[in-house]
Amino acid sequence: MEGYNSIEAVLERAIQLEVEAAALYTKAAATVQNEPVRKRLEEMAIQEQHHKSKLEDVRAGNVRWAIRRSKAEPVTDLRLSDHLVSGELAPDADYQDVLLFAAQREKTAHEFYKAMAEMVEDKLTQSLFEMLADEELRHKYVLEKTYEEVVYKDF
Amino acid sequence: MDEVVLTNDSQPSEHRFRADVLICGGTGCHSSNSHEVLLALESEVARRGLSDEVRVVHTGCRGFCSMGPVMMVYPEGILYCQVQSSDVPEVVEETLLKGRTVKRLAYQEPTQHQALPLYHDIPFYGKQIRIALRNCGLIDPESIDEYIARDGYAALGKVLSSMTPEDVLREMKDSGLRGRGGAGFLTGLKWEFARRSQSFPKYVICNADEGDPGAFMDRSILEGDPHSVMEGMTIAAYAIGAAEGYIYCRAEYPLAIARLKTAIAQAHEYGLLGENILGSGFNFDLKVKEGAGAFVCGEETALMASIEGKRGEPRPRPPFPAVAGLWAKPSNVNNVKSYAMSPQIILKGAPWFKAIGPEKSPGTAIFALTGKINNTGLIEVPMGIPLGEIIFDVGGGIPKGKTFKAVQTGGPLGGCLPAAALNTPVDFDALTAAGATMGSGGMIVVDEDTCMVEFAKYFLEFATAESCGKCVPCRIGGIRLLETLTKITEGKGTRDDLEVIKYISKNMRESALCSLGQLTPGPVMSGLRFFEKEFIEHIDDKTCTAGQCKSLVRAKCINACPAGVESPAYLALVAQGRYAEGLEIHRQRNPFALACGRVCPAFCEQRCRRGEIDEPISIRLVKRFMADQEIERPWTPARIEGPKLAKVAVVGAGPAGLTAALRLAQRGYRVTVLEKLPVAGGMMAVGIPEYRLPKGPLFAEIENIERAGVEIRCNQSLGDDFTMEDLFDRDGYRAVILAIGAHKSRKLGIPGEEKAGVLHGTDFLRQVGLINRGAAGGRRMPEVAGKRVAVVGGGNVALDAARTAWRMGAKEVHVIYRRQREAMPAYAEEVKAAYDEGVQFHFLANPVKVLGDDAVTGVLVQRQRLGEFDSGGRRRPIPVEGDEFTIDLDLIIPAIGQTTDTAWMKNTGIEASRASTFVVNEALGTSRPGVFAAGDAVSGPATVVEAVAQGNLVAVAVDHWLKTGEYARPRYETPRPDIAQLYDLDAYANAQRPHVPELELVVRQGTFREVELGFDEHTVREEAKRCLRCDLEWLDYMKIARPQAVTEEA
Amino acid sequence: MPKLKTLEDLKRVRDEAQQALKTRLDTGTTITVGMGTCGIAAGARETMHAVLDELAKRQIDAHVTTVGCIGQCVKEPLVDIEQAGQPRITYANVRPDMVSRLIDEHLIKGQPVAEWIVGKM
Repeated sequence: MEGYNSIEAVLERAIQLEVEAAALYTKAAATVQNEPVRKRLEEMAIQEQHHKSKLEDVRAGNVRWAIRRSKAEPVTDLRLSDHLVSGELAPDADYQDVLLFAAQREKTAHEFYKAMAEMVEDKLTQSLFEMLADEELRHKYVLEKTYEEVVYKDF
Repeated sequence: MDEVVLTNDSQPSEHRFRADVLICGGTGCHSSNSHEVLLALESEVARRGLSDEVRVVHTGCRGFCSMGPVMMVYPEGILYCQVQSSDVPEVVEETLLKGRTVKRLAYQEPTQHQALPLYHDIPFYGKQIRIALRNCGLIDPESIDEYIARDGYAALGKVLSSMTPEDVLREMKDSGLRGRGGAGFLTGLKWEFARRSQSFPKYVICNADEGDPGAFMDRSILEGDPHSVMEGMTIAAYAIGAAEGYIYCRAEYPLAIARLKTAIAQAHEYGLLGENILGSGFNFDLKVKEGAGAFVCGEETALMASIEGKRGEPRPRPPFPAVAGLWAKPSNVNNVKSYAMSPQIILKGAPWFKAIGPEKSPGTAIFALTGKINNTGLIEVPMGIPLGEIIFDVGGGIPKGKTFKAVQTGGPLGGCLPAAALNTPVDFDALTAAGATMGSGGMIVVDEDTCMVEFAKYFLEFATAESCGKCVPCRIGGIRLLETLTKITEGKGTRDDLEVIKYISKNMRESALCSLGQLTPGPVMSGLRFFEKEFIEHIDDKTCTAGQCKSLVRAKCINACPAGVESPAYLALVAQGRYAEGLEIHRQRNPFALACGRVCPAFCEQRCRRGEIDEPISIRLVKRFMADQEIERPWTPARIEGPKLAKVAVVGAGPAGLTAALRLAQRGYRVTVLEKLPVAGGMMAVGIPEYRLPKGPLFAEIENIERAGVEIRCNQSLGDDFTMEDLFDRDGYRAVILAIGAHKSRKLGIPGEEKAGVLHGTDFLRQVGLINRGAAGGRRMPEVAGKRVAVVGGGNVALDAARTAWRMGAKEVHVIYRRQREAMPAYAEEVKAAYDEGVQFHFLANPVKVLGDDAVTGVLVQRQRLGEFDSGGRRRPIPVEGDEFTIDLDLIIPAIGQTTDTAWMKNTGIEASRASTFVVNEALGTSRPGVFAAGDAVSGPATVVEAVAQGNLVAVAVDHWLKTGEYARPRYETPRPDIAQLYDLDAYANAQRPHVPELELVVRQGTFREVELGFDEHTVREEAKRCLRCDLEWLDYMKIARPQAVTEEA
Repeated sequence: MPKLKTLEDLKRVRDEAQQALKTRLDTGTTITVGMGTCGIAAGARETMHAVLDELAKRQIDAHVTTVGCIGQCVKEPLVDIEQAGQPRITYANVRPDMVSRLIDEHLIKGQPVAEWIVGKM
């Protein structure tokens, strides 16, 4: 598997993806008109920054331990937003749109890491990809939970 | 209570019975006359000549206490519930003789009403792993042989013959068993401390005081399997080096004490107690010491003082009992359950035990499940099971379809947890982290009708009564806490009182001598943590929403009504034929009597006290009749204050806006209501269909409001026809109330939603409504006739859309809802009517794709199953992969939820929440000074009466703001009407709630004629007399004189 | 009751007492005798007693249950034998004198008696 022949390379790519995600949310925040929704997008951008810092810590510290800790936490896929469609965020986007947008982005990231896990051969690298996949799934869980509370309150 | 002496079966032990019938003789079933059932069974079995085949056995408690007396038939494993002696002949004939189950005695599963006769099918037992309870309900507790048959004393045998005390200690430590008395200290380690002490004699003590109200785990084990506890104690004695043991059992358990004494005597006979047990040279003897009725004696140092003959008072630790306990000698104190589990751990090994449940809290936990729960009883479940599973799967959920509110764990010294905690795994650490405690295992479930302030007070009363008095923090702190809490329940509390409560609690926690004092503040502190809103309501609003605090609840119906309508008063007046007076009282709180008489969900009826006896009063229909009588006489609302110069603008002519306008006009203000649509009424006009609320009554009601001096201008849209600045700067309004409701329908977000043939629910109803209300304005009815229609959603908008589509001639009407029927927010009557009208419902179904090219041809639906609990206590639907089906359709009507349109809000300085409701302060003021909000725009989609309540409140808030420039939490107050009781309540003791006549089904299709026809005068006046006049009882309670009868019945 | 002096004494009491508890625990073998009115009329109670006696004589652990009319009334008494992991076999017209052979061949030797079988599930 090109480019991912080392733990460092994997983490580097993952960190880069978090940076891209933060930029994505910041850009979306600039377009959206609804004030509280805009603030939520800015919060999401900050959260992606936190994910980046977390990965930097992993890179600097003990990768195996991070993997083990992650394995010990349960992760559920609610699959709530999988069939929904979300495009670019329009200026009149509301909270429902933003949650969906973010959830699907996390899903894409999760699937990317899962695919990577299946392609590499080195056990440690594989476990690292699985851990990253689980992390993204956890983010998706939180977003889908909120989506259900807000949008599906009566459904 | 007499000692119950039973004879063991007198057949020689070689005789084999074909069938065993077990009757539960636990205290619960015993108090339901299970002993008579047993005698009846023995006699009938003999009479039918089955005494050789069928053995009748008296056992301990199997746990399913709410279903007692319980009878188990083996070998089939059939469980019969609530068996009476009169049922016995049928059971013997059908089941014992002919092998058929008696369905009516089988357990009925609460939601599907399916009979589940076999024990292992019953969900109550399905999730249980019975270790400490393994024998309870299975064996005769007075037969040591039956205990031995179940491997009884085999563990002791193993210990005495092949294990050293160190081996035993190691096994217990490795198992990870933590004390089941509540503190959760590692049992093996505790035994080791006692072993290490080099002072003799040593003592093994069993804490069987079980003082928690509602807890009966220990009692059931002592009554149902006493030998297990004794065996555990003997093993502990061997491990620590003791020769004497005490079982401290509360005197309120006479049956348990009797069974223990019998068991001890039997063990002596077999040489399993006393000297040289099983020839090993080890001596151990047990005595039973009866408690003296003090809760504090459940605390180990107080318990030991009591055994010593002193007053039960705790003392400081160290020294711990393992070093210096009973008579200052090393003692090991453990709970009944800990001892009961020990023999199993020895027999099956530590790894077996450790494998059950989470690593830090292995094994099983026993809970006494009580309160508002369907399956009251005793359960043993693996540690780590989510709280919600215990309550809903094992416990069978909340009775009468009520909503779960909280669960109290750990008894009076524990804490309560709200619905948000339902996914918490039940183990020592997780429960503590969540804000409660594991305790000994009492679990009390409460529902929406329980007041959390009153609930905390109940436990506080208990704990303060049981305080031994030795230390000041508990003795005095407890009383002061109780006084403060009582004040709050009487409506005399202040915000400072909450600080006092926190202060005293902190002090008690840190300085009380024993855990009784330290944990007494537990319930009130967890109540404050999770239900602070209720405490504040009691203090600020003098309201008890649950309807329990007697000083604050004049009648449950008044209390349950969001607008506080005085139902008992107008019911009493209707009974006398004085409709106009009744209506006037009603309108003081809610001006929409005609509308609400037709469409209100009647929260009042849901809480009506008469409903606890037979059926609630049909308050809504009485109201309707009363209002209909006066429709010919237009109402001019009375002025309350003199005219004022200030002008107020209300945006939105729905119930919130109109009510606010009315109240302000009554207070002399000049009010203008600006309405976007061509017709006023809000959701009443364009949401609720004509067949539920005809335009006659609706418009009459709106005209009443205009008669108060309110000006209503239609076709005025905020953002298009005028702006906020126009209102303040150009038109000179001093205050603005935004009551624009929630009319924007949420998108589904699925592919194909943009196709032709997708028409959102609110848009659909609005188009139809405007035309039906005579404000067509060039609009045409949506084309529905002959079409196959599907509505997506489960709320009232969805149901209204479905029933409207049917009336318009749809060929098929489907409703697709993501959860189950019980979870639908729509009114049950609407759902039933929809079923009657032929609507097809699909539950646990979620549309994933709209099919078709340009126009809709169908929808692809994915089935769901139920997963974990959400923060509201409902189970989440999870898609079932690959399980999809198609419905062929022409029209799809999404109605999954509504929000407020906030597009116009840019640059207005008004803050909205993420959920698109207005952010308001306590006075319903928005972030922009002078701009207030009320109704669905604040609460999210709700009901007419809730909007009215907000309308009342915002008017008071605006009035105050205009007069003082300040925001204050509003209270809408009206004079208390005391109407005399003129009829004899007893005469109506057996009167029944009448059925409401409805339009025939055949007449309904194709028209929008009103479906509900209402009662006639005689029926209404008689129905009003079924009212129990709780408001007069409140006067008595508060020592206020009842009103005297002034007039004769009209 | 004599004192239990050794582990063996305890075990002996246990084994004896376990026989009495057998009906409440799983044995893996269930023998069901049709006991509807047709069955009783055809003598199913006598057949059931014969089964119980035979099981006691041979010290075999099995559950014996009764059931209502299975349907083939003319073939009563009907006796089902079901063992864990095996198909349930129904025997027709079982008279008390046939029971001994049924138990011996089906349960002990593991060979269902083909000529008496009327159904297999």
